[in-house]
Amino acid sequence: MKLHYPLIALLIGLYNLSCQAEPLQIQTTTLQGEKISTLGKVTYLKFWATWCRYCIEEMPHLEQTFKTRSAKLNVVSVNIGLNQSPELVKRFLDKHDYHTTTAFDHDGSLSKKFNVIGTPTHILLDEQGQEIYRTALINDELNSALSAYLPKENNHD
Amino acid sequence: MTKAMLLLLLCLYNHTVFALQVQLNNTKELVFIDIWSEYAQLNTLPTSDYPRQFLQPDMNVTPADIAKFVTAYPQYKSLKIDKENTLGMRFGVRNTPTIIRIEQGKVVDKQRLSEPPSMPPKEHIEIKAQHLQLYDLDSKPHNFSNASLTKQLILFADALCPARHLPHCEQKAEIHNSIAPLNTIQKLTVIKPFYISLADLKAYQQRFNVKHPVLLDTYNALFRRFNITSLPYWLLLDKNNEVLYRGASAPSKRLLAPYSNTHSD
Repeated sequence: MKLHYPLIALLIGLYNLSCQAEPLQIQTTTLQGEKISTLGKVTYLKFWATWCRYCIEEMPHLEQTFKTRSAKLNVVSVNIGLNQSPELVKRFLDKHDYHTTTAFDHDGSLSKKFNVIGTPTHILLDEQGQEIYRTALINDELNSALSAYLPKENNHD
Repeated sequence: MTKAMLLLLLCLYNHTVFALQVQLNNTKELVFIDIWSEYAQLNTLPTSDYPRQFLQPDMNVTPADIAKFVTAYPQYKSLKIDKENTLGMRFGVRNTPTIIRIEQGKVVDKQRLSEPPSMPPKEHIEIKAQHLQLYDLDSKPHNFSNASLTKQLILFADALCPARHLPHCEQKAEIHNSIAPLNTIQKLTVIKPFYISLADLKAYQQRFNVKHPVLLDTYNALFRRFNITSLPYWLLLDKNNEVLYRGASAPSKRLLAPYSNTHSD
């Protein structure tokens, strides 16, 4: 009977491993034509749309974070693609001189993968693609978490 | 098992199969709409001889939002949320309204009725002095420089509470109501101007039984001046409108004492 204990322990271990969340990542070509992969670095994702007033209001914060981020942080905006077009999003980014890396969710799969059912949605992923924080609007906790990757003078915190 | 029971089971089976066949053979239309766009401008849909199921993409909506919309527009009584956007993704719906006609389980037509999306208006217009003049629900201007006040305690809020982007907004509105500052401290609620009408503002005041002044920040100017990004959010100002406290939780009683001027930020 004792012989079965290691086998049971192994099975429990395998079960626990299978219960861990699958790594979340984005591998895509952005609207700027850049191929990106979010694994390997902490990643700040923002899901948004041009018809979302809160999203548009927050864009300078996103751009500032993108421009001043340290090399340890990915910043990726994801336009959710619903009632949007890549051309419109490009025009919008150009008009406001925003350079943040931006993916376009052509078929809704990115929103589904990250379980996004509202705009804006801000998500922080660790290097392994595990979600470490999520909020609808920019709040003090998000700014505090991002501050570790921003120069002191640009901290939103 | 008796013969009668077998016959009953056979009969139930046949009935189920028949019902399924009827459902599959029927032509029907799935009509994807977005209630927020419909509120802004109700789309005129082409008439149809087929039964319609209205579907709302699972984005920025709750069942309560659907119920409210259907009450306002009963013609959409079959409207339900396309949970996790399962059908929208299956049929490649990326715009609203879109009509998908299904015949014998197959898509036979897809009509996209939406206009091409347009550029949003500017959200970051320069704040001018007149933008910081806020009015209460009786259109009375609020005086932020009242000399008889030592402090002002403001809850920044969204009149669409409860909503996904406003965590614990109902409890926070109640907490704000329950704070009883001294007469020299003015208590206010300032409302975000996004997506709301005067009726929403009044409904908020009634829903939460707010007795103190509720002001609309028409130009989103006070929100921007104090960089209020998450909601609900408290701000405690001194008599010179300098920030004594800011946070997503209410300030301590110590800060609300009449002559405490501890700056917390």
